[in-house]
Amino acid sequence: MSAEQRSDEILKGQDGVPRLQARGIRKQYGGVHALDGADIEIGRAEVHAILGENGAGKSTLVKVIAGVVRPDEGEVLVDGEPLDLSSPSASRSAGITVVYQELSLVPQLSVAHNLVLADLPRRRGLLSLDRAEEIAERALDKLGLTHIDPRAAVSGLPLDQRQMVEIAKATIAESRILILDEATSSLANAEVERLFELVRDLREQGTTVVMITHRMSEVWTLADSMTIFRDGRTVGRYDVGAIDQREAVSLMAGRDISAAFPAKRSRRTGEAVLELRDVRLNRRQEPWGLTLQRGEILGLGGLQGQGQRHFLHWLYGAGSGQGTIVRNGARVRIRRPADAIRNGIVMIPEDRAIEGLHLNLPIRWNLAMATLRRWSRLGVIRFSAERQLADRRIAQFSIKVGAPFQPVSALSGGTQQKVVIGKFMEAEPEVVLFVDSTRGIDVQTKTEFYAMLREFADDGAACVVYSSDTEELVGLCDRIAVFHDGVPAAMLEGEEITQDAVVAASFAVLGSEAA
Amino acid sequence: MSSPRARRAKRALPRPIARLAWQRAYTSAALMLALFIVYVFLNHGFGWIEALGISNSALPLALAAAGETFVMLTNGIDLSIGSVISLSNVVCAALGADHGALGIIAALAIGAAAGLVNGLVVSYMRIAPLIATLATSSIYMGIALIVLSAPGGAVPPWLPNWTVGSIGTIPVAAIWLLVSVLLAWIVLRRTRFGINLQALGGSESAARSAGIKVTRTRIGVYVASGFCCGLAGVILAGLTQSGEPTIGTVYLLNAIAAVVVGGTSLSGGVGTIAGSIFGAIVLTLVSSVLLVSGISTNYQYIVTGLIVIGALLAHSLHGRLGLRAARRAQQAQTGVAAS
Repeated sequence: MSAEQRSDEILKGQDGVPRLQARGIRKQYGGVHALDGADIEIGRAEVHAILGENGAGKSTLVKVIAGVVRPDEGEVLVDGEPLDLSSPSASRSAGITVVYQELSLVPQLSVAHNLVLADLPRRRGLLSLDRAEEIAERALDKLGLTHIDPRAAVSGLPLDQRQMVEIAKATIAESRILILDEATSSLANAEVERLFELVRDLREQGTTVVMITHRMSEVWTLADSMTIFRDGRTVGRYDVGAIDQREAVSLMAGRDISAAFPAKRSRRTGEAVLELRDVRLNRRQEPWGLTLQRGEILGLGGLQGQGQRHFLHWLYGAGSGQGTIVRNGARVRIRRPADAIRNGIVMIPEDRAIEGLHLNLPIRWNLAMATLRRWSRLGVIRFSAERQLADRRIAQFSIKVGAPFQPVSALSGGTQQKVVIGKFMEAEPEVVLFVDSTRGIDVQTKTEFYAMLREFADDGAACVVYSSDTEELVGLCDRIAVFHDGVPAAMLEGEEITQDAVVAASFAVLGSEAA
Repeated sequence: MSSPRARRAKRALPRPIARLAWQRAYTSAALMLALFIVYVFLNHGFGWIEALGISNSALPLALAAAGETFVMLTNGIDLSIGSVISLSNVVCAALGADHGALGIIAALAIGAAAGLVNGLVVSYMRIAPLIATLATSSIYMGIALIVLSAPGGAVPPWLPNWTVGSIGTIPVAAIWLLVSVLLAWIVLRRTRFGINLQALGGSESAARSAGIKVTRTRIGVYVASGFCCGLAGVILAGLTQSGEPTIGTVYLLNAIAAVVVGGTSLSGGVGTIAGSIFGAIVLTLVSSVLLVSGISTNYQYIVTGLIVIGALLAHSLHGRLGLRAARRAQQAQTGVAAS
């Protein structure tokens, strides 16, 4: 029985009923149990973390509480009252606000419209734009987002700003329970800091905050307590002081995990896979060059939004810019992603829902999509080859699926990312570009992912990694190019690579610019 | 760094994407003016008779296009508008002679009811709008033919004055067009329904998670479309002073063309009803221009097709330029933030 799995810990600072309780939640998709007896208990004015691997059921639980997904079994209580789980508006009126991992802003509408969408301010029955903008501005200011114009369309904002707008939106509804589902995964450090301040303020005011994150350090910085999930079940409830990160990780995985990063290579051949010359990502900058070496993992560091993404998109033929690309001594032209793939360059995109996957199509087709040409003869796809490919990748990445013909949309976020990577790896690339690919992936998968990257490099490919997580760059990369304003302004190598050095370089390049 | 003044200064920056929808409406308004000038030139002048003729033929199309815009803004499509116009038209004419105003109310009610049925079928039976409204279109057409199997019927004698007459030299239809543009603007920009339907068209999941009642909004959109078609049917009854069970047929494709010319994106979320009304006037002017220039009206279909493609090109060009400007503005902003 699920009740037995519940932790016996006494709820902290409790004077009676817990603020939020979920009991025996079950939910099945196809043949896969997303939730199989999930229980949580969270007190008033408590910051509570929910931890678990990809597919452990964290996001599904959030969606159940938010009324977006209807559970097969189980109940949710808010302040002891049973919650109507049939619609998002029921949860909302019970004082529950959710910031989702997949952004839930309407791209075509303005920031202000999005912020007030749930409760439009009206004067004489008509929407008051002035009031809407006022409310939006106040919410944005509270998060220090003075650089975001409430009247700008959301579609024009970069991902991290959209995420902050999403958080601002959640603060407008003065909620009893705020749920942050991977809210920090696309944010830069300064923004994370502001979010933390906000969370602490909310706790002061008596709000219960539930956070789902894969950044373990955040849990120990911010949370009071946590619930650990494994395979859709609650493992237990723990106070932050009671266990350390290593224990938590092994509880999540069900076994001990050693070092997360694979050993770096001591020697590199120095042989160039790709040579980039006279690169200019925009007209203002001076031309620059960069060489990608066989067998290396090159990191792109620097502050967020310094052109790292733009550079990778350009190299993949999906962004503006100019420059000469030399491969094996011959100049190649890359004007669209198909050119890049033909030249052995693949990109693992950051926003898997938009760029990486066809959500409604089966897993199997998604895996074969990038390399259809190879699986077909005279334009006709050979099903046996396609099936073999899919089965092999599913086994290799331990992708948790009901059946290969399940649509990708039925998988959890981290599992979807595995499918994306599996799909592109099938093209046997020479250069692999990673654009913040581990965003929202759990520790276990990250470790597998890092090992895989190292394996690619050892097989002679060059990996280029852009990550908003500096720790990841430092642990993984042989070289780190620190970007500023679209230009790799500093290069760190070997022993020079430390967390401090990368951060210092990110700011130093800014300093020299200002001087 | 965070002074309100800084924000106000930034507000002066262009926000091309947010304005895109209206820019597209401007594009169609510009096209409308250009065609109008061509018409005046070819016709050697513009009198109240011409104004009356153009307004009267533009009004029903504009209403149909306005209705279709509601639906297309939510990513849907309503293929039943022609049949709903016919249905409302024959109901108005069949009851009009004996029951007067009651016939008009019945015609409007039946338009809204037809839209309600569309909305229910799309929402609850989960049939794609294209198929659902294709099917209901056939049904409404059948009902229209049962109500009035051949052209006939009558309307209250005062109806033409209210729909297609003129006050002095000003056509009543022109006033209605102006009122429609204003009303449409208020509905889309200033009412909860308008904002909700645009949110729904932009991203259904986002709309749902914001607590918007998606099903209700979607049904509302089809009801609005049906009601607009009901109005168009009544106006047509006023124009011909009788009912005709196939009168709406030509309006389906022309209304969709008007919506496209008016700049509403087929993928939902972006567009304006005012643009669609301008688009309807553009299409009407095209046939008027052909008429006065002595070109056979048989060419009208070809020219209409070319205009639709041309307008789409103009919109996509506009969009691309707008995006580029937005990106530049953003770069300028992040540049400011970095230094």
